[in-house]
This record gives sequence, structure tokens and C-alpha cells, in this order.
Amino acid sequence: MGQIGDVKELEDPAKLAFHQRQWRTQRVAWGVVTLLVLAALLGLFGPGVLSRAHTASAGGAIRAQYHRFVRYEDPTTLDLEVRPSGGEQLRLWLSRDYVQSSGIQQIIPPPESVEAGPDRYTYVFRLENPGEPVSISYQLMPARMGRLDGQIGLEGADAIRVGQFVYP
Amino acid sequence: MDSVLRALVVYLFLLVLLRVSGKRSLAQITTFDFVLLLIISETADTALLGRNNSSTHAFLLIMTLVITDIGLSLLKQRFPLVERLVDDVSLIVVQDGKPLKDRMNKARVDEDDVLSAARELQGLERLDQIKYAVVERSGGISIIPKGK
Repeated sequence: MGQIGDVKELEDPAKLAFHQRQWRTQRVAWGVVTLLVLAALLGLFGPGVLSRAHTASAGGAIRAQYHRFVRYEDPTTLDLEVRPSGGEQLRLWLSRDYVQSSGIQQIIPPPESVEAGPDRYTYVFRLENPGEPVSISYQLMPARMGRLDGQIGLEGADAIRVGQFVYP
Repeated sequence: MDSVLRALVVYLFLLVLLRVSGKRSLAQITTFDFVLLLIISETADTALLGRNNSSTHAFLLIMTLVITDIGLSLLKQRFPLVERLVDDVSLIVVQDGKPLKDRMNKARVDEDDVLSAARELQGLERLDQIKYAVVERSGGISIIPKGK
């Protein structure tokens, strides 16, 4: 690599100009990195204020809480609150793409059964108190990077859309 | 493909970040700098390996890192500008015993750093015994005493 013949060569105006440009670039880069760290604190790259999302169906039968910004293979949660209309069974469906990409690890409480359809998976839960609101938590570990869109609904009732961005 | 891309992204990310952080940032000036370097290497290790523990993945990562480094060293040899961009250029911060304050501030070096290097490397006691103090590309300070 370039040998320096004499220490005075370091005073070469081209080299000094390079230092000046470099210091300016470094200061700008420090600003950019600081902004990225602040954005991360706020939740632009994962859990945080900017990342928190709430959505509810028009009729209020389903409410969802999740993070808009998640990371590839990093655990996250989709919390649902469902108000069943009646009956001892709750049939909740999730769009197939979302199920396949969100990497469902665990469902609390576990469903009684799962039915696979052409474009959705239906999770069947047995209700202890029919008509009472139920909380269901999906533990996810996103298995695909990029935009993740999904639909969640109650069979025969309204549905909601969830949108997440999965960082590498 | 994933292994090669991971290695390339981590290599480039570290190269750019460490470069813009300035040469004095991780020059192992203090024990804490050294510990910070260890933490960074451990974190980069996680980013490289992910959840993949296969030997093939590890071998591909190592091969990609080594060949990228060799490629970059060839580029540096051929193009001086690439060498400057990647390795930086040494900078004189003390000349004939006089500290060049503006440069020292920009390079984040103070007189204590220079005197510390002068004592360690040359056994000098005062700034006026120094002909040149140079912040090297590695971030370390070299001292040329007067009378040489």
C-alpha cells in the first residue's frame, strides 16, 4: 500500500483537502447515525411508539394490537380481542399469505382445531363463556422480509387488515 | 446466496461505519475502547450467523469475507483514491513542537494524547521535544523527536 517517502509529504495540499472533506463527511454521517438511533428509540425499526398499531373492525367484533415494524425471525406478538356473537365456538380466520409469512409459533389459548382453506386458515376456539369477549395472542416470528399484509376475520362477520414491515 | 450476501452486507456496513466514526474512535486507546470492540465483534457475529449453525454457512461466510478483503486490497493497490477512502491518510498534528489545534480538534486528539505517545514511544517529556506527531491511519499516534 502507498508508502510515504517523507513525513512532509503528509502536508501535500491534496491530502489536507482530503482530510477536510473527510471531516465534513464524518460530521454528516454522525448526524445521520444519531437520527437513525433516535428513530430506533421511537420504534421505526422495531417495538416503540411509532411501531404500535391498533385496528378494529367496523362493527367492533375484532380489535388487533401489533407492531407495524418488525424484524426478520425476531419474535413479535399479534394480540386480538374478539367479541363473539354467540355459540360455543369461535371461528377466527387469517389470510393464508399472512399465516405463511408471519411464522406463527404459538397461539394462546391454543385453538381446538385448524382448518386449511384455499385462501385462509380458520382457527376454531371453544368458548367457556359464549358471548363474552376473548383475548387471543398469536406469537409470531416473521419468516419473510419486506411488506406483510394480512386479513383477519370472524367467520360470517367483519374483518380487519393488518400491515407490517419486516426488516432484514 | 444468503450466506454470501450476509457476509458482504456486514463487511460493507462495518467498513463504512468504522470509517465514518473516525480513526480515533476504536484505536484501542483505553480499556473501554477494547471492550467496545469486543462487543461490536460479538454483535456482528450474531448478524452474520443468524440462526444458521451449519458448517457450510460458516465456511461460505469466511470465504466471502476473505475474498472481499483480498479484492479490496487489490483495488487499494491499483487505485490510490480507494486506498485513501478505505484506509484514510495520516495527519500531522504537531509540527516543530507546536500543536496544530484545528487539526487536533477535528481529529479528536489532544495534547495529552500526543504527550502520552511521546512518553511511551520515545521517552520524551515535553511537546517542544517533538518534531512531528502524526495520527496514523490506524488511529495510533507516532512521534518523531527533534534532532532526527
